[in-house]
Amino acid sequence: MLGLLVRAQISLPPVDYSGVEVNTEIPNVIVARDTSAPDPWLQDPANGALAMAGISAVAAAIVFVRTRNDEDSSLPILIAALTANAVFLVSIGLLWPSFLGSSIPLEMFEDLSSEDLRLFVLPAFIKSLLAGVVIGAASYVMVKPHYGVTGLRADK
Amino acid sequence: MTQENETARLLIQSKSMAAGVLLALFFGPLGLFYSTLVGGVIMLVVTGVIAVFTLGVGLLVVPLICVIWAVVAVNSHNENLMRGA
Repeated sequence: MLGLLVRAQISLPPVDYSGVEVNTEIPNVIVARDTSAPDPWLQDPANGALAMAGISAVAAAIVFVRTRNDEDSSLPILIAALTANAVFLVSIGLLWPSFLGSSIPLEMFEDLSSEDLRLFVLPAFIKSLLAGVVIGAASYVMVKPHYGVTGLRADK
Repeated sequence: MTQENETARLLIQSKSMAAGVLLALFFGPLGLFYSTLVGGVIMLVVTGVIAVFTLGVGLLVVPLICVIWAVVAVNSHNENLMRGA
């Protein structure tokens, strides 16, 4: 069987490429970019919120890593505040498309009616705020044992 | 008085001026929590009020106020440490 297949393959007629012309000319393509138009990524407020959330979360992590075991009671509150801010902004960034649609310029805020604000924007804002407060409080509870209270400490 | 209490001593850490200024500059009232807790809470409320009444335009001056407050608070904290308070 294998012998038959091999023989069949060998007996295939050679392909004639004599009539084929290959165009080797490289077309002149000019890629032009309109620099006057604003970047659509920057125009989307949801992306801005997510970027700010990332910066806030990274700052909280850096503060925790650099100041762990310090004797300063304000540091856990700072970390909790930054974490809450990050969660709030992530939540706003994720909820944004659901109540305003994606890639909306900021000018559209002016067109929002009071009913839109009451039904969509305000509930989403309150939900995000609550999420931030809850996660911020949780992070405070987790971080607090790593910090001492400014003041007296028993030195054994 | 136990041996542990006798050897207890004050260990208070000074605050970094650079950290205070940078946190207040980039994070506003939240960053101010590093320098002063009361100041952070007050500025958080003030920022909310400013944002509502100026439709967000007034938020441009908030980081500036926070930085000034942070500098004053960190200076005050560190001076108190030097005095042994």
